[in-house]
Amino acid sequence: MNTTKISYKKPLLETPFHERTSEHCYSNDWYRWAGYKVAKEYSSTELEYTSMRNTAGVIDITPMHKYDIKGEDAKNFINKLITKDISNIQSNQVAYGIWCNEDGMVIDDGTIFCFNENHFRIFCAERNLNWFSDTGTGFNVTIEDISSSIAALAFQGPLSCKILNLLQVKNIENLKPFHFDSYKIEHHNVIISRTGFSGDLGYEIWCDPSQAIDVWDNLFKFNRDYKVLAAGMNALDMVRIEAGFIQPNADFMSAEQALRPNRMRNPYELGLGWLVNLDKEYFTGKQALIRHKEKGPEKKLVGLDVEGDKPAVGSVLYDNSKKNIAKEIGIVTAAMWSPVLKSNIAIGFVNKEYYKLGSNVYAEIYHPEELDYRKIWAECKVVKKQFFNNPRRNAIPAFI
Amino acid sequence: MVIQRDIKKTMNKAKYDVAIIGGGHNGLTTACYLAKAGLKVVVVERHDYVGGAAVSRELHPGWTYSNCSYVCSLLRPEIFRDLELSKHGLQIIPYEGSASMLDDGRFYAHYQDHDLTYRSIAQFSKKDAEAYDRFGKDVMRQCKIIKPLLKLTPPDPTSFKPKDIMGLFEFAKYFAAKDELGGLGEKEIYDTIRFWTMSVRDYLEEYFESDIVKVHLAGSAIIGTALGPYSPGSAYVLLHHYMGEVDGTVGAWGYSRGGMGSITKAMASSFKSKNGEIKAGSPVTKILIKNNKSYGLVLENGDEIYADKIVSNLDVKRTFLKVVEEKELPSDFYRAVKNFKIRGSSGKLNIALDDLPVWKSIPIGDPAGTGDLHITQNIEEMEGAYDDWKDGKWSQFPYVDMCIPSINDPTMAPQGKHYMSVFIQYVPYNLADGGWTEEKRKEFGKHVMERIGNYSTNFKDIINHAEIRTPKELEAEVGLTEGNIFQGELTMDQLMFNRPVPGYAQYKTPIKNLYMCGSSTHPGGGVMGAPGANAAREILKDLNKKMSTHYI
Amino acid sequence: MKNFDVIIIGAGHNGLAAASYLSKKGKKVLVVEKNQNVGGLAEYSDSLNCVSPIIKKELNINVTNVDKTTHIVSLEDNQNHTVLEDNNGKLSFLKTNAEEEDQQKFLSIINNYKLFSKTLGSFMFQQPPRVKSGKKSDLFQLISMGWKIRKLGKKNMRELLRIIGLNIADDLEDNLSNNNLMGLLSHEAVLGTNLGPRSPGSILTLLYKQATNNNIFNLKKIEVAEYIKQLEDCCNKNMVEIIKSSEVKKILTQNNSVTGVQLTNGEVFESKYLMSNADPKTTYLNLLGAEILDTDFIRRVKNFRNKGNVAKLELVLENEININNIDKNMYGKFIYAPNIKYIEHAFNANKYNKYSDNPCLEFYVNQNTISANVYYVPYLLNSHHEENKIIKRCVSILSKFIPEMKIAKQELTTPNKMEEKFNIGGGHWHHGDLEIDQLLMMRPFYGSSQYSTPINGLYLCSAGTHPGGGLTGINGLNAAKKVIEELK
Repeated sequence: MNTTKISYKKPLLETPFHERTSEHCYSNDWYRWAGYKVAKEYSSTELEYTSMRNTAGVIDITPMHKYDIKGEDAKNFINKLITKDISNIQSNQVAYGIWCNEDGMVIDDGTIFCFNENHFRIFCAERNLNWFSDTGTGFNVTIEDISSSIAALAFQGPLSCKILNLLQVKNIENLKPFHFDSYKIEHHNVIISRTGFSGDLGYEIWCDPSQAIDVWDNLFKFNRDYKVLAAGMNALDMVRIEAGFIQPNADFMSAEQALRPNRMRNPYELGLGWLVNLDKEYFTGKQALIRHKEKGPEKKLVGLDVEGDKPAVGSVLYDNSKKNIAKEIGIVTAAMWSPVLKSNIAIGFVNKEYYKLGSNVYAEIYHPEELDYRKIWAECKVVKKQFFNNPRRNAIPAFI
Repeated sequence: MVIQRDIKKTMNKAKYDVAIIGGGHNGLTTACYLAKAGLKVVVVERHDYVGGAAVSRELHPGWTYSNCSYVCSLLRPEIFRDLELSKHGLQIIPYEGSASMLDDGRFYAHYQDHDLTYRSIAQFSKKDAEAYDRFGKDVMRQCKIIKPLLKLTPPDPTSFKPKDIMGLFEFAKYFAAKDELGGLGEKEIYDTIRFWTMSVRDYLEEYFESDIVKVHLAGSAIIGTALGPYSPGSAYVLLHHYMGEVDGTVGAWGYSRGGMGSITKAMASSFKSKNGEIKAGSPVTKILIKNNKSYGLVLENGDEIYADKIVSNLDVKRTFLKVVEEKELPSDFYRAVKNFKIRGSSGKLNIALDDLPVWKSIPIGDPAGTGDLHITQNIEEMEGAYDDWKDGKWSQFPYVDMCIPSINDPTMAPQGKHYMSVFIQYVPYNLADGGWTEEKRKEFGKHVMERIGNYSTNFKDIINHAEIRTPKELEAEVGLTEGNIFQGELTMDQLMFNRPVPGYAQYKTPIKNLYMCGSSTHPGGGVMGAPGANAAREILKDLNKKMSTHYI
Repeated sequence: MKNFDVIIIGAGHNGLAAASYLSKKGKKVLVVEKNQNVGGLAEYSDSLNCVSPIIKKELNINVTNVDKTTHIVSLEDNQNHTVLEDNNGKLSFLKTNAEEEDQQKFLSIINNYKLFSKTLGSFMFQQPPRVKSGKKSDLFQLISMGWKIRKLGKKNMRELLRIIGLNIADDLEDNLSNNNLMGLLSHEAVLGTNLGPRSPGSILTLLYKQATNNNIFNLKKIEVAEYIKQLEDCCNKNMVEIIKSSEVKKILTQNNSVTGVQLTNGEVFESKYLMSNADPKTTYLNLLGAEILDTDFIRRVKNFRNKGNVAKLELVLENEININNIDKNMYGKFIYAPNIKYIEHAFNANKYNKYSDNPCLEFYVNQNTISANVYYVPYLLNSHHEENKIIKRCVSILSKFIPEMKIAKQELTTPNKMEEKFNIGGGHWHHGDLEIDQLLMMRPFYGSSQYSTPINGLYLCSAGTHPGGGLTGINGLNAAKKVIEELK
C-alpha cells in the first residue's frame, strides 16, 4: 500500500481488506475514514450489530492512525502527552488515555501499546503527527506515522475467543483485557490485543497488509456453525454507544480542530476525569486541569435512559415536564434504541444542576413517521454512560 | 471651453437624484440599491460597455477575454440575492482546486476532495498535510471574524459622535464579546492581531515545513499587492482570497459563465429593470462643485448632468486628482489623497490558444489542471520577484497564476480552442530604465510566455493571440490609477478606518453630496461588491430613506 | 548550599537592574553570570543617550552626562556628507547639501515622530496590560492607553493610527526628496530589526526605539561602562552576591514551581524565585527544558522570531583616523546608509540568510579605533560567516571616507558569536524581533507576557520582554517589581 501515490480517479484509498469488504458490501455504502473506504453498512446494520452482540463481528479498522514512539524517552514522552500516569506500565500492556491541550481541552483519545520501555505504539482516531512531534520537543524520541503499514481488524463478540481458539491461536483465552501479544493465525504472525469498542469480549488483530486477506478468511472459516459477520461503521457506532465510549468530532470537537473555542471540552465535562492524574509531576494541560477540576464542569456528558422507544437523535434537553415553561439545559450527541438492552438510550450534555445520576430531564424528540414528524416529549433519567457492560468482557480465561 | 459649456448647458439638462461615475461592479451595486430604493439614478460610464475591471471582451475574433479580473468568489451572497443576479442571467461555475508546477517535474495540488488534497500534500510532507487542516481552521476563524466587519461602515476612532462610539463597540464586539464564535479569549485575540500584522511567510512558517506548501498558499497573499511574502501585513491579504464562496462552498472559487463581464452584465440588467439609466461612452471630465457642494458632472462632450448626489466609483486618486479641482479640497485631504498608496504590481496576459496546453508535470485529465495553475518554486523565489519589482523591473521569475476558463465554459473560445488568463506578479507601473515602450511590453509578454512554455510541451506552438497588459494598460483602459487592481494597497495604513484616508472612511468626502463607492473604500478590492453596497447604505441614510434588503 | 530569596540568571544590564531593585528592597539576591564581566551585551553598545529617569529614581543611579557625542554624520559617496547637531534633543543642520525645504521637512517629521513616541513612551515603561485577562487593572490600563492616544487630538491621532502600520520609506518619500536624509532616518528605523525601509511596521520600530531611548538618534552621551559599573556598585552595596564565570545549566523545578538552579559545575543554589535575563527561547528550551512545558506553549516559543542581523566590527588602525571632508570637531556618530535603495538592497540579502555585499554601517571613531555596527549580517543556522570577506567589504566602504587605513587589528563579532558568548539565541540585540506581534502584551508571546512564565516563581527580565532591547533596564525593574509583589 503506497499512500504517496495518488490518483485523482480514486480519491479514496482501499484498505488491504477491500477485496473482501467490497464482496460483502451489498449496499455499496461506504464511509470515509481518514481517506479510506470502509463499509458503513454491509447489508443490514441490525444483523451486523446482532453478530457482535451474539456471535462475533469483524470490522475493518485499518484506517485507524498508528504511531510508533521509539527512543529512550519514549515512556516520558507518553507521560507528558497523556493525562494519566503510565509509569508502571508493563510490556504487552495496553493503556487507554486521552491528551489535552494547554487549556485542558481534549484533543483525542487512543490506546497505547507498550512493547517495552523504549517502544510504544499509539492508536487513535484522528491525525496527531503534528501534536506528537511538537510534544516530543526536548525528548529523545522518534515519532513515526506507521498507519499504512499495518492492517487491522476488530473481532468483537461473545464467540470471538472461541473462534480464535478454533483457529489454534495458542493460549488466547488467557490474554488479559488491555493486554496484547504476538500470535499465529495459520502461519501468519499477528499481534492480538484484547481491546475494542464493543464493551464485550473482543479482540483487535494487527497484521502486515500482505497477510490481510488470509487473516480475514480465517476468521470466517467456521461460519457453517458460527455465524460471523462483517460489520460496518453503523453497527460499530451502535455498540460503542451501548458501551458508553465517546468519539471525538461526534460527541465533542477535538481541541485541535474546533473552530469555535467554546466547542472544546475538558475531560471532566466528558466524564473522563478518571483518566486524569493530577498527582503526576507534569503533562500538557495539567495546570489548566487543576483549575477545571476546582471549578467543576459547567456541563457534563452523561448517559440518558429515555422514555419510550423513539431514539432521541439530536434532541434538545429541557428541565421541565411542562413544555411551555421548560428551559433548555442540554443536547443529545448520540442516541439509539438498544436491541440488546431493550431500552432507549442516549448520550448527551446536561448542565451542572442535572448531571447527578438519577436526575430527570426531558427530551424533545422529532420522530419521523412516514414523511411526517411526530414531536415527543420524553422523560429521561440521567444514568451512567456505560449502558452495556457484560462480565464476559473482563473474564479470565475468556469465554470459549 | 467655458463658453462652449454654457451653450451646451442650455441644450442638455437632465436632473437625477444620483449620478454615479463609473460602471464598475461597485458602481453598479450602489446604483442597483439606490434604484431599488426608488431613486432616479444614472450611471455614467466612460466606455461603450459597463463593467470596469469585471468585463468580458472579444479582443480577438471568436475569443472572449475576462481581460482584467478572471475568477469569482468574493461577491457577497446578500448582494447576489438582493440584485437577483441569478434571475438576470449570472451563472457561476465552480472549479477544481489549484496546482503549482515545479521545476523538478512534480506538481503540488489542492483538490476539491479533502482526502485527495491530504494525500497530495503528504507527497511533500505528511506533517504539512495534517497541518493544512489546522491552518485552514485558523484562517477560517479569521474569515468568520472579518465577515461581519465587511458590511460595517468603519467607525471613526477619533470621533465622539454616538454613531462612531457605537460603531467602535460594534467592532470590539466581534473580537471580544459573545458572537457566533462564542466570544474570543485572550489567546484568540492575540492570534487575530498576529494574523493581521504578520508577514505571510512568518505566518506559514508556523504551520508548514515544506517550501512548496508555503509558496502555494502564499500566492493568495501577494496577488495584486505591492508587498512581498516577507512583508509584515501580507498575511492579512490571504483573507481577501479566502473569505469567498461559491454557492455556499466557503473558500471556493468559480468562473462566471461568459467571463467576468457576465457579473456586471447581470448587475446592469438588474439596474435597468429598476428603471436605472446607463450613459455609456460618456467620460466624465469634471465634477461640478459650488460652495463645497457637488451638484453635477461635466462630460467630455461638454454635456452636463445634474444630480443631488454624486457617487464616484473611481479610485480615490482619480476622483480627487483628476475630476475634482484641487481648489475645492482642504489641503490636508488633498495631500493625504496624493500620498494614498496605489501601486501597480500586476500584469495580465490574455491568450487565445488553438489547443489545450499539455503540462510536463500535470497529467492530462487530472482535475488539478483545470483550476488555477501557479508557477513558482519557493517563497524565496517569490520574494525575489518582489525585490525585482522594488527596483523597477519586472520579475525575472514572476509568480504566475493561470487559468483556462474555457475548459469549463465553452462560450469563451471557439469549439476546441481555449482561452487562458495569466496573472503575473510583479510588474512595475514605471520601469526604472526609462519607462514602458511598445517593445518592452512585448518583451515582457515574451518573458512570461517563455516561463510558462518551460512547463509545457506544446504551449509555445498553440498561441494564437496574446493580449499583454502591464499596469499601464490597466490604467489606460479601466482607469485604475497605476493599474492597481484593488484601487489602493491593502496595507495596515490603508485598511478599515484608514481607508482610503483617515477621517473619510465612511464613504463620504469633504465635498458635500459627493460620495465614494469604489474599492478604494472599506473593505477594499476584489469583485466583492461590499464597498458599493456600504456606500449605498450611507447615501440612503443621509436621504433618510429606509429600505429592506438582505445586505443593508 | 545557600538559600536565596531570588536568583537571577545573567548579569546583563537588566539582570543587574533587577538585582539592584530587589536588594534595595531587602531581598537576598544571587546573580549568576556566565562571563568574567557583568553587563552582557551592553559592552557592544556604543550608544547610551540617557539613563531612564525611572531607573535613576528607583536605583539612585547618577551617571554624569559626558556629552560625548552631539553630532550625527551621514556619509555619502560623493563626500557631500550631512552633519546634524543634537543640542539637548534639538536638532540642527551643520552641513548638508539638502535643500532648505527638505531640511525643514526633515526636522518637522522628526518632531512629529517625537510627539507620537512621547505618547507611546507613556506606556512604554509600565508593565503592558493584557487584553481580556479578566483583571480590572488590565482593563483600566488599556482604557487609559486608549485615552492617551485620543488626547493627541483628532488630526494627530489619525496620523498615528495611519503611520503605525506604514513603512518608513513611504512616509519619507511622501515628504522629502533628499536621498541622504531619507537614508539617515531609515537607518535609525531598521537598525537591529528584521525589517527593511520598505517593510510595513518600520515606522513603529522607530517610534518604539525613540520612546525607549528618549532620542531618535541614539547618541552616545553616557559611558556605557560607567552605567554598568554603577549598577554593579548598587548591587554590591546592597549585598547582592554575584558569581561570575559560572554558567547555569538547568533551572530546577518541582510541581511546576521553581526550586533553584544547577550550574554546569554541578553546584546547586536553591530559591523559590528565579529571574532569567537569558532570552525567552534559551530560557524555555535550554534552561528549563521543553519537557515540562505545554505543547502549545512550545509551539509559541519556537515561533518567536529571534534571528539577529547586526555584527560588530572593531578596527584598530596604526594611524590616526581622518575622515574626508569632515572637520574633527564634527565627529560623532557616523552613518553610512546613503539612501533607501541601498539599505533595502542590503536588507534583501538578509531575507535569504545571506549577508549584504554592500552593508550599512554605523560607527564611532576614537583616535585610531573604529567601532562599527554592520548590517545586515544575519544569524546563520547551518553555515558560518566568511568573516574576512565581510571585514574586507566594510573596510572597502570605510576607505571611501578614510583615505589612510593601515589596519593593525580587526575583530568581527557576528550574531552567531554573540549567541555563543552571551547565550543569546539568534544573537539578536533585542532578543527577538520588534514587530507588532511581538510587542507589548504579546512580548514575547501569549502565556509569558507581563514578565511571568507558566512556571511558578520563574520570571523573565530580559530584552525579550516588554519594552524590548536598548539599555533601559526597565525590563529588569518591572520584572523585579512583579517579584516583590509576589513575595509580599
